[in-house]
Amino acid sequence: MSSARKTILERIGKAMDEGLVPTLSERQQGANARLSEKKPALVPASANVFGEEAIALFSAKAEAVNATVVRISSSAEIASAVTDYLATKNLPAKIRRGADPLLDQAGWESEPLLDVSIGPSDGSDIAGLSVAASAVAETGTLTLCSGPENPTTLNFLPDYHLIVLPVDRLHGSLEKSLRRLVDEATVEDRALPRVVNLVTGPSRSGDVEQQIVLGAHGPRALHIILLG
Amino acid sequence: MEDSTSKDGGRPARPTVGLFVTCLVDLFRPSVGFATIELLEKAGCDVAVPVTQTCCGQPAYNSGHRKETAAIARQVIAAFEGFDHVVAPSGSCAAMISHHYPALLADDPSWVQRAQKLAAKTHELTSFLTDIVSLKTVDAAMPSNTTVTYHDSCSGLRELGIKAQPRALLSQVENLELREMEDSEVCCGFGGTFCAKYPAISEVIVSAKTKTIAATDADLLLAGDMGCLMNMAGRLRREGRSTEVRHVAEILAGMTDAPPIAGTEEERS
Amino acid sequence: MKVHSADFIERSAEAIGDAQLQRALGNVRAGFIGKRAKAAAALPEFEAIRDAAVDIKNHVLGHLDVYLERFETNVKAAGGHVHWARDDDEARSIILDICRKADAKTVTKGKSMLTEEIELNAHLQEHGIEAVETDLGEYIIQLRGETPSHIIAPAVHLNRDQVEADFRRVHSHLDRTRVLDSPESLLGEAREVLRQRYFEADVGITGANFLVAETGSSVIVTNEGNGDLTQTLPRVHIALASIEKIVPTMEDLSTILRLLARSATGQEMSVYTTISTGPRRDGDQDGPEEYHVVLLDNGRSALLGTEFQEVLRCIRCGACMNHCPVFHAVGGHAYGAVYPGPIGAVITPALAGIDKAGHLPNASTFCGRCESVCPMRIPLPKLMRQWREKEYEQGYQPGGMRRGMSLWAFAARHPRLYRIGASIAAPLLSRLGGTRHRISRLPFASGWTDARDLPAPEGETFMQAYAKSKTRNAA
Repeated sequence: MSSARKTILERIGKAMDEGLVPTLSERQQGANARLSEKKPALVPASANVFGEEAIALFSAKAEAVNATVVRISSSAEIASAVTDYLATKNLPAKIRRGADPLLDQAGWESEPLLDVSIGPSDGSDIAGLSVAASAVAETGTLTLCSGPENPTTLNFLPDYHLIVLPVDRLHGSLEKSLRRLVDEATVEDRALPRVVNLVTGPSRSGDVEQQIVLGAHGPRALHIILLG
Repeated sequence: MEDSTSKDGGRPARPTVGLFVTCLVDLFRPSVGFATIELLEKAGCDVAVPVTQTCCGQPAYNSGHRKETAAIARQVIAAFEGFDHVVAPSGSCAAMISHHYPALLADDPSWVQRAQKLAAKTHELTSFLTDIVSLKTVDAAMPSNTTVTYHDSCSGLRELGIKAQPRALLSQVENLELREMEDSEVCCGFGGTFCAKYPAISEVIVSAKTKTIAATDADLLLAGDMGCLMNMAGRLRREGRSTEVRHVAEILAGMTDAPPIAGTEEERS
Repeated sequence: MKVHSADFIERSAEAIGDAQLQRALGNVRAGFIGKRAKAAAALPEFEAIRDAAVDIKNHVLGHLDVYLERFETNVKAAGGHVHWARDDDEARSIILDICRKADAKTVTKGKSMLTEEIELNAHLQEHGIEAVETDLGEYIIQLRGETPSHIIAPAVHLNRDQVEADFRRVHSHLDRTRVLDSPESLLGEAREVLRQRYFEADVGITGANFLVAETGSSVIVTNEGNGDLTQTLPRVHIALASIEKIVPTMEDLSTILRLLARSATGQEMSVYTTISTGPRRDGDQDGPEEYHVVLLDNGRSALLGTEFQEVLRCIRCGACMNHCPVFHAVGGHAYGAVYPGPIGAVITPALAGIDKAGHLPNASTFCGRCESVCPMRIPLPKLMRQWREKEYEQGYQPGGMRRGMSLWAFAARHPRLYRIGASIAAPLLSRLGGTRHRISRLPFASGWTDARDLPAPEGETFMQAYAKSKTRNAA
C-alpha cells in the first residue's frame, strides 16, 4: 500500500503548497521546532501545586471520581494496607501483583494470611495491586506503565484495583507527569512502554439512559495507597 | 460624520441614528418601529429612516444565495453609512450587518472597508441603549404586578452577547417582575426559512419553548426579535394559551396601545 | 459510506412520532448539558485553553504531512506497523488482511466511529470473521442491528426496557427469572457476557482519539475499560485512525485532553486515557504481539486548504449534538448518516457529496449553540451555510426554494418594488387576521400555520405609517 502513502502525502502536500504553510522545508522547520520545544500551551493555575498541597488536591480529585485513598509512611506498610482494604470490602485475603521492586519490601511477612501471587491476570483474580509510575494532582489521575513490573491485565481484569503511589511521583499538571514519564522512558532512543494507562477513578458507563454506573468492563473499585 | 462634537462650542451634538427597521417590523409590527424611535429620541439621538432599506438579506444569505445577499448588503451599506450609528430592533439583523457583511464582502476591495465601518457602528436596540448611549431612565410603568418572562434570541445572545442589557432596562420598568423561564437561551425553533423547510421539527422545538414559557405563569413574554416572537406567539395561541407577547421595545417605550402579537386585548387573562 | 439523508424529512417525522425515542432523547438534555456547563465553569482557563487547542490543531493541519511521516517513523521504531488507506475500501482490505494473517475467527472492538464510517463489521462478517462490539452502548445496538445514534452515546435513543428485552432475547442461556430492570443489572450482565469474548478474540480493533507524533503513540479515551481489554488481550491490536488525529507532543495532547472529557460528559478526565506505543516488549507478560496503525484519509485531505478545513479540528466530543435543538427533536438516526448533529451536517456532505446530503446542513436553525460549546471553536453554522451555498451553486437546491428565494432577493434589491409589495401584503394579511389579529390557516404558508397561528400585520407597513407621521408633524 505504499502507493496509498504516496498519494495521501501528495494530496496533503498539494493542499499545503496551495496555501497553508508555503514550502516543505518551512513545514519541516515548524514541526521540528515544536517537537523539540515541547512547550506546554496553558497549564491551569490550579495545577501549580507542590508537596502536601498537591497530595491534598490529588486525594480530593481522586475521591471525587469514586476512588478511595489511604496514606502510609513506609513501603513496609503496603501489605497491611492491602489486607485492611480487602477486609473492609469482605474480600478473600488474596492479591495478584506485578514484579515491581517497590513491592519486594512491602511487609508481606507481616501478613501471613494474605495470599500474594506475582504475574499478569488471567481474569480470575478478584484484586490486583500495581505501582503507579506517576500521578496528576489536577485531576486525581494515576499513570501506569506496562511491563513485567506492572502487567496491564492487572489494571483491568480484577474487580478491585489497588495502586501504590509514592508521593514523590506526584506532579501538579498532566504535562509534567507525562513529560517526566517520556523523558525517563525514552533515554537512549528507546520507545515509550508499550502502554501508558492514565487512570482516573474506577471504570463506569452511562450508556443506559445516561445514568452513570460504576464497574463497567474494568475494575468496580479503585483504591489508592499513598506512600510517603 | 463620525465626530460627535459640534464645531462651535465643543458641546456634544445629538448623535444621528439610522433606524434599520427590519423587514418583519415593517410588514407585521410597525409599533415596534415607533417604540424604537421613541427610545432612541429619549436617549438623545436624532433618528432618521432611510427609505431605500428593505431587508438585511439574511433569508437569502442563509439559503446559500451569497451573490444576491452581497448585492443587498451593498444597498444597506450605501443607505446607512452616513449615520453616526445604525440601530435595529433585532439582534439577528444587527448581527447580520455587524458580523456577516464584512465576511460577505471580504473579497470585494471596494466594499470591504465600507462594510467594516458600518459593522462597527451597527447595534441591536437594547445593547445600544445600555452599552453605547446611556438611556438614563426608562419611565415606563406596567399595570400593577405584571410578570414578564424573557426569551434570549439566538443571534443576539451568541453573536452579540446580548443577555444582561434587556434585563437591565426592564428592571427600571415600574410594576414589572421578571420571571426567568427554564432554558431561556435555547432556540425557539424559528430559524428563518428553517421553520418553513422543516415545519415538523420546528413545531417540536417551539412546543418545548412554549411549555417553559407557560411554566413561569408570566403575564407577558418578551424578546428582542420579531421572528422568534411571531413563532412563539403563534404557537402559544394555537395551544390556547393566554400569555401576551410583545417586543421588548414596546414595554420599554411604554407603548402598549397596539394589541399584543397574535392576540387581542379581550383575550388577555 | 452509506448515506440515507435524502429521506431526512420522512425519517425525522418518524422520529417525532416515536414516543419511546422522544422519552429517551430527554436523557440527552438531562445527561450532558448541565454537566458540561459545570465542568467548563469550574476551570477558569477553559476559554483560553480552547484558544490554545485551536492553535494546536491549526498548526497540525498546516504541517500535517511532516507530522504523519514523523508519527510513522516513531511507530516503526517502536516495533509497530503503519498502513495507509486512501479510502474506506482500502482500509477494509488492510484490516481484513491483518485479521486473515492472524487467522482470526473473532475480533473484539473498542468504540470507533471510524469503523462505522468504513462499515467494517459487515465487511469482516462477509469474510467469516465475527466482530464483537464491547462498549456497552455499541454492544446494545449491535444486538439490535442498528447503527450508533450519537458519537459518544451510541444507544442514547433507547430506554432501559428496550435494552432489557434485547438482552433477554439474545442472552437466552441465562436464567429467565433474573431481574434485569436497572442500568446496574444491565451493565453487570453485559460485563459477564463480554468477559469471555475478550479472551476468545484473536484481534482487537480500536479507534484512536489522538496520534502523538513525538512518540508514535495512538491514544484512546474511554470510561468503561472495554477499549483496554480489547487491545490488551488478543494477539494483535489494530488502531484505525483518520489522518487529522495527529498532535505533535504530549504537551499538546494534555491541552486537548483538558477539553475533551469536559466537553463530552462533563468529566475532568475520562476514566481511561490509554497511550499505546508498539507491541509487547521483551519480558512483557501481556499485551498484543503485533501493533498496527491504519491511517485513513477518506476525503479528509481534500478538505485541507478549503473553506471547510476547520472541520478537521473536530475531536468528536459530541457537545454540538448534545446542545442541538434539532438533534433533541429527532435524535441521531434521522440524519441518515454516520455522524449526526451539527458536526455530521458539515462532515457528511464532505464525505458523501452535497447532492446526497443536502438536507443536513439545511436542517439547522443556526441558533449557534453548537459553535458556542465546540471546544475546538469550529464555526459550525458558517460551515453549514457554506454547504448551502455549494448546494445552490451546484444546482441541487430544490427548485421551489431556489426560485422563491431568488424572487425575494430581487425584490429586496429594488426598494420601490419591495415597498409596493409590502404595502399590498400587509393590509391583506391584516384583514385575514380579523379581530383576533391572527391567521389560523394560510394555504401558501401551511408549513407555518399547520403548527401555529400566523400573527397578522397591524395594517399598514411601518414605512407607510412613518411617512404619514412625518407629513402630520410637518403640517
